Order: sequence, then C-alpha cells, then structure tokens
Amino acid sequence: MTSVFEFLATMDRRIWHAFTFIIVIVLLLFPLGLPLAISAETQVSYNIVHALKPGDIVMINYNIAAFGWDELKGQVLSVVPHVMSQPGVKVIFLTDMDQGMIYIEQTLAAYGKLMEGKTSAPWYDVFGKKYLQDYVVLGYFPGATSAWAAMAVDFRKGAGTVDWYKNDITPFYNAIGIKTGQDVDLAISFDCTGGADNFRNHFFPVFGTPIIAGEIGVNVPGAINNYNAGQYKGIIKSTRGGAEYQYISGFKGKALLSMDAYSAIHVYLILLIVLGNIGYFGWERTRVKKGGTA
Amino acid sequence: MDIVLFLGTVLATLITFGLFSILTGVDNPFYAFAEHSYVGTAIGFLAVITVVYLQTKVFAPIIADPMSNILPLISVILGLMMLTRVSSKYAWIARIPITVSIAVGVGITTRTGVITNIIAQIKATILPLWGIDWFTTLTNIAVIIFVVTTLIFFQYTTRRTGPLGKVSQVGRLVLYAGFGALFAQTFMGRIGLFLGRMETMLFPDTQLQMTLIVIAVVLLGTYILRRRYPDLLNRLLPQ
Repeated sequence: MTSVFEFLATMDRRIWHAFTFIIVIVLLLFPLGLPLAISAETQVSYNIVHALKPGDIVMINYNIAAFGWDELKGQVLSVVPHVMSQPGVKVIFLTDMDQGMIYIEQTLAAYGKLMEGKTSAPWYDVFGKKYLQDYVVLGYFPGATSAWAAMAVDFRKGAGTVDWYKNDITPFYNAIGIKTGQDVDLAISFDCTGGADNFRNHFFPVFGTPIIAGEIGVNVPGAINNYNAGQYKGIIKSTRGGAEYQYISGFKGKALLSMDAYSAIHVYLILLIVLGNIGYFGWERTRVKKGGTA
Repeated sequence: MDIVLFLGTVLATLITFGLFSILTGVDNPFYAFAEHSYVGTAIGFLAVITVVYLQTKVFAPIIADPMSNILPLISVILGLMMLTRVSSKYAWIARIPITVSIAVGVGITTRTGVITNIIAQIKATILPLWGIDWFTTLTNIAVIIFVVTTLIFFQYTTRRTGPLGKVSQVGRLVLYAGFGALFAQTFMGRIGLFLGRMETMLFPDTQLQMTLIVIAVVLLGTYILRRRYPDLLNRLLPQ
C-alpha cells in the first residue's frame, strides 16, 4: 500500500496537466450533450433584459481585457445581442478598461452588418439598430470612479458630447432625453476587475438603477454578496453563466458547447483533490512524522 | 485566407501555447517570447488608447471652446504637474495633483461607499426568520449565525476562552468554508478562461490544424533545446 500512496504523492504534475488538456480537447471536439440547469441569477438577468420597453436606455460597460475575454465572451455574445434585439431600446456602450474598445467593436461586428455607404466600425446595423440613432459608443474612460460619478450627476458633461470616433452625439442625447443617471433604465457591466461597482456606487444608491453584473469566476463571491443585498438585480457567473444565457436567449455559441468539458474538469479536480489527500495522508505526512522532510 | 489574418492567427496560437508551455516545467524561449510580447503589447496599447482619449475627450473640447472647459483645462494642468516627479528639484510640485486626486477619490468613494459597502451589506444580514418557507428560514438562520461567529473570530480585545472561544472556532470554520468557496470560484473562472481560449484554438478545422502544428513545434522545440542545446537554451532566455 505504501508504494501506491507514494506513487500518488510524488506523481509528476505534468501528467495531470496533460490529462487536463486531453479531457478539454476531446470534450470540446466531441461533446456529450450533458443537461444544463439554469441558475436563478441568470434567469433573473434574462427576464430583466427581456422586459425592456421601447425608449428604455441601457448602458453597457465593457470592463474587459484580454486576460478575461475568453471567460466573458460567452455572456457578452449572448447578452448584447439580446439587448440589441429589443425593439426601441437605446444603448450606450462604454468601457473603463483600455482594451475594452477592442471587444465592443468585436461584438458589434459579430452581430451587425455595415450600414449603407459605411466601411468600418462603428457604423453597424445591429438587429435594426443604427449607429448614432439607436446606439452609441462613448469609448474609454480612464479613472472610472470620477467618470461614473460625473455621468450620474450630469451625463452630457460627464461623458462628453462626442463619441469615441469624434462624432457629435448631442442629437442622440436629445433624442433619447438623457440628462442624468436617473434616465438610465438598466446598467450592464461585463467585469474582469469590478466595473459594475461604478454603477453600484454612483447610480444605484441615488437612482436605484437596476444593475446586471456579468462576472469572471474570481469576482463571483463578491458579486453574490451584492446580489443578496439587492444592489445587483442579476448576475451572470463566468463561462457557466454565459452558457446558461446562451441557452435561454437563443443566441447560442461555443460557451454552451464547452459545458461538458467544464463539468468533466470539475469532476477531475475533485478526483485530484481526493487522490492528492490520500497520497499526502498515506505517505508524505507519515514520512514527515517519522523524521523525514516534507 | 488574408495573409495578415493568417500571420495574426499563427502569432496568437504561438503565444497561447508559448504561455502554456511553462506547464512543461522547463523555462523556454517560447514562454519568454509570449510573456514579454503580452506585457509589451498591453502597455503599448494602453499608451495609444490613452492618447486617443486625451485627444478626443479632453484636448478637442478645450481647443474648440476654452472658456466653457475650464475644469478639463485645470485637470490637464494638474496632470502635467504630476510629470515633475522626474526632476528631483521640482518633484514637490507633483504632491499637489496627487493630493487633489486622492482627496477627490476619497470624497467620491465615501459619499456612496458607506451606503453600498456598509449599510446595504448590514441590512442584507438582517433577515426574517418566520412567515417564510422552512428552507429560507434555515438559510437565514445560517447566514445570521455565520456572520455573528465570523465577527466574533475577529475580536481581539479579550481572550477568546470558554463559550466565546467555541463560538470563535465556529467562525474560523465558516472562514475556511468561505475561502474554499472563493478557491472553487477562482478555479471555475480559470477553467472558464482556459476553455474559452481552447475553443478559439480548436475551431474551425484550419485553426485546429494550426494548433496541432504549434503544439508540436513548442513541445519538440523545448525538448530538443533542453536535451541537445542547453547552452543555446540559456542564451535564448532573458537574463
């Protein structure tokens, strides 16, 4: 038995890494089609977006950088088209991370087609929504806390009257009638580092703005506290939340496809924890007690 | 395929698996290249995008109408004052914008932070214990017990002995459970990230072929360098 314990405790970790790669690659290429339960938080988020009415204003913040995009893209590529396909809803895109602009343009390009006579971003027609008529891209705001606080008090001064592409957006502001944060009907933030906090700190306490936070896994425990405290109306949790949203919204993508690998890897981790502990208690700990070194 | 797109895809695949190559346990030039490229590109991009921001949102309005944009003008001056840190003689000037920046930040944050981070969180733990279904009652009781015991764990003014010690022990276990959940969520997130990247690397079929070639190149390259040319491997690594 000792040799089994020793084998488990001293096994080369590269073998486990290799197994991780193999499991993921095999299950991504040949998914099993395991069932997917929809969490209450994702369902609530979907219901909020689905209940948007014509004339409602939605702010979408991309707190996204390259290090989190692969985790968030499942939810971004299902929530944004869901919002954009709601008739009459006006959308304001912005980002508090420098790389956020890359992903805003990527999202619009994924679902939009270039407007007549236009050749590049941001002039997309996305589900019938036209740039500068139904949506705008405000661009990047460094120093997010100050920027969001300023937008809450006076949107036009805080956000400026030109978009990221130097177009005058005063006619857009006039058309949708936005003056302060009070006029925003829904705030959505896809977060690598905590962009939803800007809405939670500057919009929610003053205006009670509903917030949906799409979070990477590391942020989820904190977001759940805010959700339970009623400060977030909905949360979408990591790739899993993205897959759930893809399923219920009908904007299906690869996050849904990856859920089999996702489940399998979690089972695999539990197995590793069990095996690692058997090895530790059966061999390494006993050895240390007998006077050896760890 | 467009040649630029093709080269971009090759580079992306190489950088992805270059970064993963550290899992082989061998420091190698693919990893070093990927790591340095990522950091360099991110910083370069930040610099460019910040300049675009300043151009679009700050300088353009000031130039167009300086009198209506006094506050942005002041912020630009404060920003420039920060740069005086590079001179030992005039470094003291930088203290002024730093002070203003901290004061504004603290002012803005505490204005609502008390409500969102303290009062709302306390309110969220004041929960009903009756008039609701049994499961919610149990959950609410658990939340109250966990909050109280954890808070007791963090009181250091008296010795935690007797009943207080037992309650404190419960608080410690709750913290363990909390850290466990945090670790699990972190793992969940990292796996999500890994899966997302692998999706990009495996689809469509042309990408899959490129991925397999790059994996083979990285693994074989690292193996050959380590076994046959250790001196070259050392020279290729950053000092």
